[in-house]
Amino acid sequence: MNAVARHIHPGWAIIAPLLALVVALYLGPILNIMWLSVTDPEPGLGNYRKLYESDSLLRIVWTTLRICVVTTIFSVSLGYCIAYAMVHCHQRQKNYMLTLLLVSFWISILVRTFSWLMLLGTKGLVNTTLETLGLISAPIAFMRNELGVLIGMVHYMIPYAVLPLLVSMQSLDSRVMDASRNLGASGSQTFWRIYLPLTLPGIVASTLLVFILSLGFYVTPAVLGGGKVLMVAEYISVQLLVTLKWGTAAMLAALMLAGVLAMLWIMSRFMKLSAVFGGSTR
Amino acid sequence: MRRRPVRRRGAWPSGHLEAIDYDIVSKDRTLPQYALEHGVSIILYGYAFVYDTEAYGDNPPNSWADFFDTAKFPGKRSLYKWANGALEGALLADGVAKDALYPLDMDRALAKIKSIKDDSLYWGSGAEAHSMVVNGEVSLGMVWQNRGRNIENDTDGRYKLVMNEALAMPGAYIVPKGNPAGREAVMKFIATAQEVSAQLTLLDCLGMTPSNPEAFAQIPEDQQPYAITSAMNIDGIVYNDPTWWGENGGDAVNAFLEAIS
Repeated sequence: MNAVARHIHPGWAIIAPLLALVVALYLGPILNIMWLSVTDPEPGLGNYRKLYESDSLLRIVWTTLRICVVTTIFSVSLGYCIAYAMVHCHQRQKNYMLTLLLVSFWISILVRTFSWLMLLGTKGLVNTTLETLGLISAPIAFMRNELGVLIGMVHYMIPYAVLPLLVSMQSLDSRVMDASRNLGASGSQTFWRIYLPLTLPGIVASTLLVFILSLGFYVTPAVLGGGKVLMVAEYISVQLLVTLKWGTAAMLAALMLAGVLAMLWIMSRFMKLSAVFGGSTR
Repeated sequence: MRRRPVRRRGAWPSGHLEAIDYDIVSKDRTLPQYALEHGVSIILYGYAFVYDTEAYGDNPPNSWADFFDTAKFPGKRSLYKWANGALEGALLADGVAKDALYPLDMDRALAKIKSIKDDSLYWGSGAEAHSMVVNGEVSLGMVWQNRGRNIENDTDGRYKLVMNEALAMPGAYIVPKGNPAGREAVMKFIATAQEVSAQLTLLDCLGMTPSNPEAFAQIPEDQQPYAITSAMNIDGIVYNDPTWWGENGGDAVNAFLEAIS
């Protein structure tokens, strides 16, 4: 008993049940899905081979990546501006901005998605107004296409982009910027050479967060895409519920998991991930 | 390359279902083609379309050929996202005879679907189909026929249902093996659901059309235009083949998704 206790810290006994629960409820299903992807409908790598053989699968993966990249670029750029404004305005205004940000953060994705239909749909507020004013003769197709999906996703993702950036900017020592100006750098030089590099961990954290969340988007593309923008998450749901091709669904799920892990691994080559995530939780 | 037989989850011999007991359930109280070994149709629903009377009031569309004719009927149209019904409509529009639809000629159907892709939106739920019409997003909307009445009411008659060439779908009961109520009780329940009074109540509540031929003549006057098997509509409808869909549905849906996305 003593020999065991010497090697294993007794603290483990306290977290052992929790650890077992996580392994059973988290790792178990994931392994089950991986298993399904190589055993259904028949054992082998047939499901993975489909990625090479089927143009449609590749196209869906490509659509997903394209939309996620564009969403991430816009969300992080806009988020950076918002975070920058929040850090540099008065406390009162900052509180207002934070409240607005959090309100939109907390509103259900369904509500936010359908609101866009009401605003930008064919008979939506914007199109109706423009038509009444005589500025356009036919409604502009904002929604039910890829543009609609991007608008909806960027809008949903902005709070996720802002929060890590905000934390990262707030923790900067403003005297560094003062020193830069004092040594003769212009405002924009200070921004590009001092401020931006110092907030890089925040940018990486918010990019990762937004990109990974975008990969699994389901509701927004399904509603705002008008059926023409098929992303991986919706395709997985169809394979599970409509066509019953569970092997294909499991393969795509495993692929997404591997993609996310690979992305984290690549990032970890370039910078300390603990700094990225530490930066976002501090 | 060696090809191994592919096990299909969609096809029936998976061993999960009880055979329908046609000693208790009546074969005569449903349409003959929908009294299958492991499932029996107790209602019919279907795919039909609504059109905007303000856009096409003088010369309204009356067939799937009209629905797919973007030159004669310009404007957006909506179709079901998961292929069912949309493929049949496309083939009918392309000139395939009603009784020669199955097995579906996928290439021909998808070519027709693609020909109106730029003018099409696709819905995944009845509510979505409904709102696309009511919000004025489409001028021609494929819908589940039992929503036709609500759509006409919600738009004050601006949109009108066309039941010619409506695609009749069997709403069927299947019985899982080892279900909690037991085999007998479920079969008796199905027999009850086949009775004319039950069938008419379902029509009244949900707009689901009777599949029991005894009930056809008793469909009330105000439901006649919306019911698939009413005297008014029954000659124009086209029957879905659930056996084909059971065997080919998965591949058909994926091919359809590839065509529209």
